[in-house]
Amino acid sequence: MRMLLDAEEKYAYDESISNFLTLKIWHDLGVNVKEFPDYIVYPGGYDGSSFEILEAGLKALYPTFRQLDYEDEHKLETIAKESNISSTPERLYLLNNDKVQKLLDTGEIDKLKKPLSKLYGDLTEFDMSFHKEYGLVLAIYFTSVFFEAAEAVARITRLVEDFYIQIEGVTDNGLCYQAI
Amino acid sequence: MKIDFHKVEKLLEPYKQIKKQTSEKKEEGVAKVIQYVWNHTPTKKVDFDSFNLNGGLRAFYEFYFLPHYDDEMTQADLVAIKDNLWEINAAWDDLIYSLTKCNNKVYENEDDFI
Repeated sequence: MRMLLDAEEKYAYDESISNFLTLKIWHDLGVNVKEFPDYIVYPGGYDGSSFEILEAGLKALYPTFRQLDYEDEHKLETIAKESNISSTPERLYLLNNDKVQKLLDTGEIDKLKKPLSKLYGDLTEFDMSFHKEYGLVLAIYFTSVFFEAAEAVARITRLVEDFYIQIEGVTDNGLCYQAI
Repeated sequence: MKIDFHKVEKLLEPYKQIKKQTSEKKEEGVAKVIQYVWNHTPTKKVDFDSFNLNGGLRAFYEFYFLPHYDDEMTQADLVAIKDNLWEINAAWDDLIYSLTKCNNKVYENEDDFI
């Protein structure tokens, strides 16, 4: 029995494989992950790179990335409440880029409400929503297996891109018709 | 008795089963993922195009459902471990190691430049 590891070793590998998948998810979205930290987490897990890998990907996709944790507890609670996130999370990520901003400006962001409410994880406790001012909001409750959260972000990112193309199409065609 | 195979083929045609390629559900490169993680390959050297996400997920859950040492294990668990992909991979590694390192069969580089 080579794979009979003790509990700590096993959890470390669970986390490592999750990190590996997170890297793959970012890679599939077109992020260059070559310079990202190594994904292996050693037993104990205090120096693990799980948060780093998650955040590096979020930063690459959403340049105006902001992170709130217990240091800004008051702000974290208000934003969570305003974005309809029920319980106070451990960390809150505010994700915004040009495309999300465009959806916010045009009010098309409401279309994301339904897909956002369907997201859930079996192993990761997270919540995703949007805020009228800050764009997409990702709430992480404490855990270290993040690939499901990354998958959710990937799905929403693709949807945002689709909606953005639709809006662009409408405005372009609209202008075109006006000119005629 | 003679069989007219052309006729048989024609008669069988309506019952032909067409297998659609479900590329989304394909698990490609499970072994790659296992090898990368088991060998602790640094992020820089991983080829992330060599497998798909479903392959990665398969590798994850295959490991996730392994029991650990502190669990109480039944005989069935012990049998199940033997078929686990990670176990098979580790067993191959050990086998290759033992082939190269068995008695009187140590392969060494001849040009020792030190």
